[in-house]
Amino acid sequence: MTAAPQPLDVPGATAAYLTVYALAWALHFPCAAYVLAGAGTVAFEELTGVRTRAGAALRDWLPFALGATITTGVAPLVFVQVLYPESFYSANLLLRAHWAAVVPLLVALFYLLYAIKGARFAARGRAARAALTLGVFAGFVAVAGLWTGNHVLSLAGPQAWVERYGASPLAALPSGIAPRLVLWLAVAPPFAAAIVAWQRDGATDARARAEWRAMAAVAGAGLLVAMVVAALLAREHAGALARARGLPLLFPAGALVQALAWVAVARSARAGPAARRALALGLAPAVLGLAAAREALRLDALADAELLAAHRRVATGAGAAIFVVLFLVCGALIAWCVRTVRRRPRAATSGPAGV
Amino acid sequence: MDVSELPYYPMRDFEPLMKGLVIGGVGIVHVFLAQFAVGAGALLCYLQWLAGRAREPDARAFVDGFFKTLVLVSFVLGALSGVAMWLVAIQVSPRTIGLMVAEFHWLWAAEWTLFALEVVAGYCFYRYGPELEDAQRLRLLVLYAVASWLSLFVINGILSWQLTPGGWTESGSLLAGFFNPSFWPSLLFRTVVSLCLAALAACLVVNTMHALSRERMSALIRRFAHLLAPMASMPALGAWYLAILPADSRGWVLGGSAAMSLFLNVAVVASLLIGAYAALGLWRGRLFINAATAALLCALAFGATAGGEFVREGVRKPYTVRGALYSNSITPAEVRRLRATGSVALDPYPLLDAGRYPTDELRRGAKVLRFQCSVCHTLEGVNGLAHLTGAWSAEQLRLNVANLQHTKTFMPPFAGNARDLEALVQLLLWVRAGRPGAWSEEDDAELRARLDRMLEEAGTEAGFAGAEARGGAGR
Repeated sequence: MTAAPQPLDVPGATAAYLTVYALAWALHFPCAAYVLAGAGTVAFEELTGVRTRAGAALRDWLPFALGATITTGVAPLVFVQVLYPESFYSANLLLRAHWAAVVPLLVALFYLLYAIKGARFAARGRAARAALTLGVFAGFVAVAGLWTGNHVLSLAGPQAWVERYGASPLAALPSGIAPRLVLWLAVAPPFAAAIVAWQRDGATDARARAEWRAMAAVAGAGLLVAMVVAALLAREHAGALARARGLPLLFPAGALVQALAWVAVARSARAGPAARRALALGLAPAVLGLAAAREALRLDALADAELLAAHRRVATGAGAAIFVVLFLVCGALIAWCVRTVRRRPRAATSGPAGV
Repeated sequence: MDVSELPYYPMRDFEPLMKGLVIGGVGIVHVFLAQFAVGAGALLCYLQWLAGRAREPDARAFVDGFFKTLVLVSFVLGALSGVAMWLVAIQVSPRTIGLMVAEFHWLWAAEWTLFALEVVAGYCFYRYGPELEDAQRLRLLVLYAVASWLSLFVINGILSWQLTPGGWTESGSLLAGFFNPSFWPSLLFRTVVSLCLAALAACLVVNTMHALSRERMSALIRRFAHLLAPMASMPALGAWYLAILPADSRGWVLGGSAAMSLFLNVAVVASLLIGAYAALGLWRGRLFINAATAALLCALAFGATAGGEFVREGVRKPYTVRGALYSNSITPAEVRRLRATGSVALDPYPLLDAGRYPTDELRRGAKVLRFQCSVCHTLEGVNGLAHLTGAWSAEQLRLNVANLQHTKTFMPPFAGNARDLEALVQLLLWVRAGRPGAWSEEDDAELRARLDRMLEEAGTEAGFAGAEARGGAGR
């Protein structure tokens, strides 16, 4: 089949699946970033004794954010199996012992996120609180590392899989995950901060101004590190990224918009409506750029005529139409739910007691 | 597709556990929690509706308390056991989950949108419900309930397709596969089960609301009992489901397989006990259900779910997707080809314990076991081949393995050549002999010719097809 002029230079069916996958991943990743950065912030606050409004918001919303991360992670999990079944399954099988630990770990982390909102946790000593929140943060970093390791191993190819199979089931994660993991960890604070900026109250007192400046500094540092690591990875994989026809450049473009917005926040010591919009405006292309770069590298490693033919074989119009209709209907209903609770009377408490 | 395209995956066994037990254990927990969440949606709508009409004074408080339980149990454990299902399914049979995804990914994605709606509506209610008016609360709960039931609707179509793919087998049509013959009885049965689980869990939760007097708890429990009423339809729905099953599958649960019959009985007896308690205790006798009794009823419901899910998984044998993929992840067409080429010659993954086997033939036998048998059997652990075949002579082993699908019609046909067959037989004999350090290789041309004939006579079709032709379906 002649390649259609698609952005990633692949046939139509593959391009369609890649698009849906990338969009679904772009919904998932900011939620995951929120959880990672949120858990890190809470641990930092418990370690240092510092208390911020942003930290309070993060602590309050972390359980929901983890639920959202898991929920939004389902669609990428489905479409990665459509796009790269053999490599995805092989990597999963090879990391069985690691995966066996992940679900129980996530269950424990989920309940701990509820626990660290509660009065019992607050009544504990500072050392215990710091140890527990550090453990939670380390747990999420481990989960991020495992997903990254799974991804890197899936790219390694059959010979590496055979070698890995002969190694201990508990062997370390494959080499090569470090720069990618650093990239994910670096973008987590600015991506989470862009969301927190929308959650914060409109306070403009001295404490609020100091917090905005601190948040801008952390987000800016994250963006800087992410840009450096991304540049190093781009230099290493220049040929493969060229195949993506400029789409990965959305990441630096979005990051630049965010960086400028954070400069404005730092200068004015507040995140006004314009700055918040700029942060959101930068977030979307930045995430999509990362998704495009990731898939360009993966296609370069895995795509062959057989894989592309498999995408054409499984593509069905009827199923796609059902998905699109339900996506629109459910999206509208989700918007209605959010609107309903945003317009509620504001007199009472925010959040159920005791949980 | 030729055999060289057959994907070999880096499979590992779970010995002494068999893989089916692992996925069964995770699956039962997930199904129990997921169906509880579906039924809870309906129960909460009902109670909120009563609250809105001031017909049950404690309904609103109960809804708020019950929703916390729902979030902490179902939203956390239910969601994560769902993730675990994906991961375990890959570990057990990547080709099965791969085929399901290939056929139904758009519907799975559609189900994801429903799941997202369910989670958002649920969290909105959980976080802000106490501040909302009754009408708004009811709308959120209706959205939650409808989305969760539609999730069940979608997943039920995919799961029931595995057993009765219906018109999909000929046409490959997505909708023909989705609305397959067992779709409706399965959906209705699961809906009734969901209502039942929610009612029983509510009986447990109401006992934790110590601010309520016994009389007020009783009033709520009588409301919950209304959701147990559809249990009366279970015998009819069960009979409908049995009637829809392929004859051979029906045969397994009606005595053809002791294990499947046993688990069906567990499900039936546990359901009967719950139904009898509901009928006699709640409706006629107006008994109070204390926490211990409620916990016992929930445990019975878990037993019924476990029995039912075991049967649902078991009756698909010898397939994971009927007609398309055998339980060992080999397609019928591949069986025919592997008979000629052998099943493990192209398997690139080494044995992890190759040094334990004194001969190449035994190593080949171990690979055959890993490739063809390990999804349901271990060597010496649960459902171990060494135990199952321990009383067979060498010649019986050869005959029974060559005729596998006729020896036990819920087994797939042996998918290898004479060398593979003899290698597996020698492996079993070697294990039976206590794994001696030296073992002779069988390299007898006459024996191989005889095994070839056995395999040819056995054919490559599923065993129940031959049994049906002889008028003995399922046996």
